[in-house]
Order: sequence, then structure tokens, then C-alpha cells
Amino acid sequence: MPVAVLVNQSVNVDELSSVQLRMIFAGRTQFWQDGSRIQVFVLPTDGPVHQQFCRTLLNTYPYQLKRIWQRVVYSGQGDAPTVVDSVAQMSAMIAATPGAIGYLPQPVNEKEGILMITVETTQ
Amino acid sequence: MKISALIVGLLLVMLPPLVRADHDRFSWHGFVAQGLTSSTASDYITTGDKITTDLTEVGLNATYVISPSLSVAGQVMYLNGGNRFRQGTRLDYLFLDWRVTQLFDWQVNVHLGRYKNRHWLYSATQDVPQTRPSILLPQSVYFDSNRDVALSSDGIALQSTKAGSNGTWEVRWSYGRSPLFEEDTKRLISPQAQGLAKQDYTHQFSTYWQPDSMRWQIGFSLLKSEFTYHPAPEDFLINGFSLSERVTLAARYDSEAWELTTEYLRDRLRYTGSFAQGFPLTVDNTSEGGYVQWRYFLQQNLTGLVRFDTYDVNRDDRNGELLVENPFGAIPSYYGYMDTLTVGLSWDIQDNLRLSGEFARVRGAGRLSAVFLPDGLVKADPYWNAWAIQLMYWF
Repeated sequence: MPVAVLVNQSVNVDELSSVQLRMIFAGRTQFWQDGSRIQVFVLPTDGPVHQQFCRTLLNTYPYQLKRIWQRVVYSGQGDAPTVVDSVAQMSAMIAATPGAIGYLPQPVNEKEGILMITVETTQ
Repeated sequence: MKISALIVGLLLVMLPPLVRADHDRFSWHGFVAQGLTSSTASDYITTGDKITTDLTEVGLNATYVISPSLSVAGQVMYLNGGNRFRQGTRLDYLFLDWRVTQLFDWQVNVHLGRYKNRHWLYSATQDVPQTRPSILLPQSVYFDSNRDVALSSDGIALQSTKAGSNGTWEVRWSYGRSPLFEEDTKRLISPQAQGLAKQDYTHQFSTYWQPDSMRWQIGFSLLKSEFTYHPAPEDFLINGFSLSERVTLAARYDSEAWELTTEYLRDRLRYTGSFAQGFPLTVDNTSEGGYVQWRYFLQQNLTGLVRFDTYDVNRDDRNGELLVENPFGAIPSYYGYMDTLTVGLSWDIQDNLRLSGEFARVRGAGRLSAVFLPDGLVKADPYWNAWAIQLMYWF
């Protein structure tokens, strides 16, 4: 199941490397280059889409990402992503939140306010 | 303690209005954990083989983003670990986070204030129960008596993370000092010390590397720290100065179904001082230790743990034979080393609720004596056990 990375239309980025994507989803990069806050959304961490996203696009296991989030949140370095319940909610949150980034299973239906970005993987 | 209590109070009063006013800039999290624990044939956790609820960890943290390059972050916590460390409230960290560089693949942060020690694998969140691999951490590296000196300091810290196709490099540097309480002095110097030890500085550097495959993480850290002893008017020590130099090496391998972690430590400790009776006290001792830990993900929400931890107080006297010749009174040789085998199980009942349990079999008592003068006053048999179960919730 291929996974697509999507951003809110306010985000002025159309391509990221998998390393850059990992820095964002690990909570290390917290602001877009224009200074606006990055709002990260993920699907339930034990679900198949999140598992696939971690493995194919971030090159990590989901438990590694969870370990990083715990460290970031409880040592004062930032916030963990917001977990949304469903694909429909993911789509709605990305469309409604300036600075948002998230992912959805392909094929993605076009929706106003959402842009798909290209991810350069090293694999 | 008074400052920490004041900050907790202020946070509790300020939190709700701030959350309502600016939820994009303000975030807060916390954790509550309570357990049952005991040490048998040793006073490490409990005295006289008692089973106790002295296993409480509560924390509340908050971060406020002032601007894209500035944040302020703080955490207060209440800890009760039985005899292992000082019971009470602590200001764990409170620092200004200045994001000097924030490119997509290179971040540089400077922390000013009470910063966290991020130099060892678990030190940044050692007191946060759900971030630890086990309830009791390996004492070779994460020595409980040294907790308050080791985990956060007042000063400046720098952290750089650079990610690229060759992997991710992290470089950390810090310089500061940790405030010590009377109880910390007794744990460091001797239970008979009446004065106060003060840390003059602690200077640390560490670097870690992860290849792009993200399977490995390897790194090392260096520490140099000085303490001065300020005696009480009636004291058995009339002065003292100590220097600690520590090296740690760390490696971790992450597989789909298991994780293997190891850290190695070598610590040279020098102490020069004078007793009230006029004769000098000189210590020059290099200790050595480390652990190997294997965690196996039995199911998505069930993790098993096996760990072997070993520590020798003096690498030139690994069996503690010279302790019998101690000029201040013979000390049993088993206070010269400590080997621990731990098995544990963790069950994630929900995404933010976990039940953990573990059992440790220990040979020796090398980490139960004061750091500088091995009085051996914490009672233990040559072989002893410790166990703990803990329920933890976080938000």
C-alpha cells in the first residue's frame, strides 16, 4: 500500500528528502523555512498505514519513532505529533490547519486546501 | 524544594488560562507512576526486607514557544524511590531554548538555565517511567545515589543534529553546576559528613551517530567535574577537593522484533582532604563497569527484558581484596564490586498506560557505598535481590 505525504496549502514546499521528513516527524524540525509552525499529524501508531509510512518513507520502525517522541516531549524539546483516528479525519485536519503535514494511503482524493509533496527516498 | 514547590504552584495557576489563550504556542504534559518494591538482604531500596509503596514518580512539564527561534521549557517532579535517592520535589529542568540554526536537515539549539544531561542514552528522561527500559536502571552507569548531580545542571548546553545521506550526527556539549543537598553530600562523601559538598563545575561532551538505515546508534561521552567540601564547625573532615573524569561508550541496535543496548563506563575519581585528627585522606581510584541489555517485543504491547550489569569500584582491585586493609576499618570485599542480572516484562495496556515488573539478582554491593569514602554503611549481604512492579500513566 503506497503512502502519500500531504501538506496544508499554506506550506510552500513541494519536495522533501526522507531524511528531512524524518527530522519533521521526529519533532526535531519544528518550523517551516518561512517561520511558521509545523503541525504534524499521524494515524494510530499500531495501524497499517502508519507502519507502512514509517518503514517506506522514514526508514524507521514505529517503536523507534515512539521512543524519540517520548524523549522530545519529556525533556523539553518539543511536542509529539497529534494522533488522528481515521483517514477522513487526517484529510480534514491537514486541510483545516495552517502549517500541517500528514500522510494518507494512495490513491488520495483531491481535496481543497491539501497539496501532495514528493519524497525523495534513498532506498 | 521551596523554589520547586513555588514553580509547581505557579504552573498550576497559570496553566488553564495560558492553554485557553494560546494553544498553538503552549503545550503541557505529565506522568504519574506508582509501584510496589522491595530489596531483600539489602537496604538498597527498603530497610529490613520490607515491601513498600516507596516507588512514586509524578511530573508535569510545559513548553511555551515565544518565537520561531525561542522557547522556554520546564518540568517539576516529585520522586520517592525508597532509600535509592532523596525523596521530594525537584525542578528537573527550566531553560531557554534558543534555536540558533533550523534548516531542514541541521538543527542547533542552545539551552540556558537548568538544562538536562543528554549525554547518556537514558539520562535525558531517566526519571520519566515510561521512557525507561526498566524500573531500576543499571547502576554501573545510572548510579541512583548520584542522581541529582548527574541529571541536570545550571549553566549552558549546546546540541547540534545534522542529518544527511551519511546518517545523523548529534553533538552535545554542556558546562554548568548542580546544586547539592545535605543528603547528597552524605551519599557522595560519607554518611558521617556534617558539611556540604559543592560542585564547582561539570563539563561534558558527547557525540552519537546513526547510519541512514537507522538500525545502529553509536557514541561516546566525556565528563570532567570538580567538587569542594565545605566542612561544618564540628566535622571529621576539615577540607576536601575532588576531581571526577568519566568516559562512556554506547551502542544500540534496533531490529524489527528486538533491541540490543550496551553502555560502558570508566570513571577516575581523585580526592584529597584532611581529617580533623590531622592525617590526610588521598583517594585515586578508577572504577569500571557497563551493561548489556536485550529487549524483545513479544507482541506489539508486550516487551520482555534481560540485562546483565557489572561494576568494579576499583579496576586494580576487582575482587575488593584491598578493602579489608582499609586504614579506617576493614570493609567486606564484596563492597568492591556489583553484578546484577535483571529480567522484566512490560505490558502496554493502552497507548498511555503501562504495567511493568522486574526482578534483579545481585552479587556484591559496590554501588551501595558512598562515592568518596567506601564506608559500606548501606547494609547488604554478599548476594541479594530486588524487585519492583509499577503502573505508569502519561499524558
